[in-house]
Amino acid sequence: MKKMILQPNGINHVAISTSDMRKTLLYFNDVLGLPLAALYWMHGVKGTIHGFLTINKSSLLGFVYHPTVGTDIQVGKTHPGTMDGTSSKGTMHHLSFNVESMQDLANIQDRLMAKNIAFTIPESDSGSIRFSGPEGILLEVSCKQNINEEDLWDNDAALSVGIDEHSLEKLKRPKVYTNSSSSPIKNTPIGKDAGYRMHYPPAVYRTMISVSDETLFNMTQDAFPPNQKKPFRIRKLTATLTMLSHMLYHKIFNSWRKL
Amino acid sequence: MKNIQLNDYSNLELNTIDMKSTLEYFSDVLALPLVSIKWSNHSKAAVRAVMQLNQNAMISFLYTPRTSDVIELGVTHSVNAGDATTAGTLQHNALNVDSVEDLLAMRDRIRSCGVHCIGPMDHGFCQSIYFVGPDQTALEISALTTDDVRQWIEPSAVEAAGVTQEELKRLLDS
Repeated sequence: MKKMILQPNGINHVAISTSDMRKTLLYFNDVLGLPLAALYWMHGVKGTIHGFLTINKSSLLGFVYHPTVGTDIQVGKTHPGTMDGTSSKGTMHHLSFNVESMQDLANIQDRLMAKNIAFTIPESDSGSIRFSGPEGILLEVSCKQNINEEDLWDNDAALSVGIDEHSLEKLKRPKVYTNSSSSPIKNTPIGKDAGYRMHYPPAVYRTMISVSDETLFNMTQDAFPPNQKKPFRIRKLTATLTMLSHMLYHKIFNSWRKL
Repeated sequence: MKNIQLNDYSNLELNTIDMKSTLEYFSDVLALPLVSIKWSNHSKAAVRAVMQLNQNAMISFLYTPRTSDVIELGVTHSVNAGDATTAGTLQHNALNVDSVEDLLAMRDRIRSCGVHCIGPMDHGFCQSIYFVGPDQTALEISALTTDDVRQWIEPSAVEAAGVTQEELKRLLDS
């Protein structure tokens, strides 16, 4: 068994819902200079468009247009409204981008002013600017400043949310992962799992967490760019039939069991 | 374009009503180190915690006593990957690893914590795994598998989005 320090090493993409893909892409291109990376029909989701802009070679900014997207912005629920506001648990508060230098930050300020987009510079951090983007998104651009280590921590704040000194030390140093010799590890059966579940219909969900990863991979494979003809693949057909037979089984024999 | 030089995400901030459980999830399941926790600059009663992804990019969490615990699927949160939420809200968040090998190791780590993890799925320019985080956030981890993502500019999607050929050129040229 191999011990590894393994963690995600960046944001691959944040995907934000939009009711107007065109306007949103043009805004982030025009105001923040992000070039288009991809724009295609979302794999496996009918009528839905996925658009991506490039930030760097491993980070994209994504948008999703779904035909049923709602446009009712509810401050306090869907959107925080302002930087000192809040919205429902699990929703995005704001999104911030990095620039390398204060000159880059000044260039963004010039761009915003030229476009009559109001921005603020927080009193507590002269290395960032904040403004509103399309559809109520709160945006920030930041240039890293040197911060004293002691200014990063406040034990009273940690205690107020139930984190004592011992927990704090643990959170600073996550457990090293020991790679399992029995990879791939299977999904934990429903009922013994940690309770973080998706919302698929029960038979679909039971199938997705129980079929082999190879079956799911073969069934969902969309590895061909849009302008290339997709060849007929027997593996995809076999995987699809396997999935359908599992779903039928769960529909017949497990439909009475709650997820 | 021009003189605009964004070079990475700096921070994605999410709202939470249970800071401790949220931080423990991202520490235990995803191995992200906590690099700051303090009172928010905006309010003495609000707490902001930051976990590090890389030298530039962080994911942070904001707790305020006013934060709502209402989750409305299709409005505040997506039902599943690809489903609708209100315009301007987070549909899903995908973290990055550099290789498919790391993606498979992350899948095993996530599953070893008892969290259901679906995938990998092959999207052509990336492979992804899918799972759910605290407060029903839709999470993904992706590994890019090509340098030429632009092959996935699909003319019929460009047209359906209402992007003209002139605008497409602008979007590509910047």
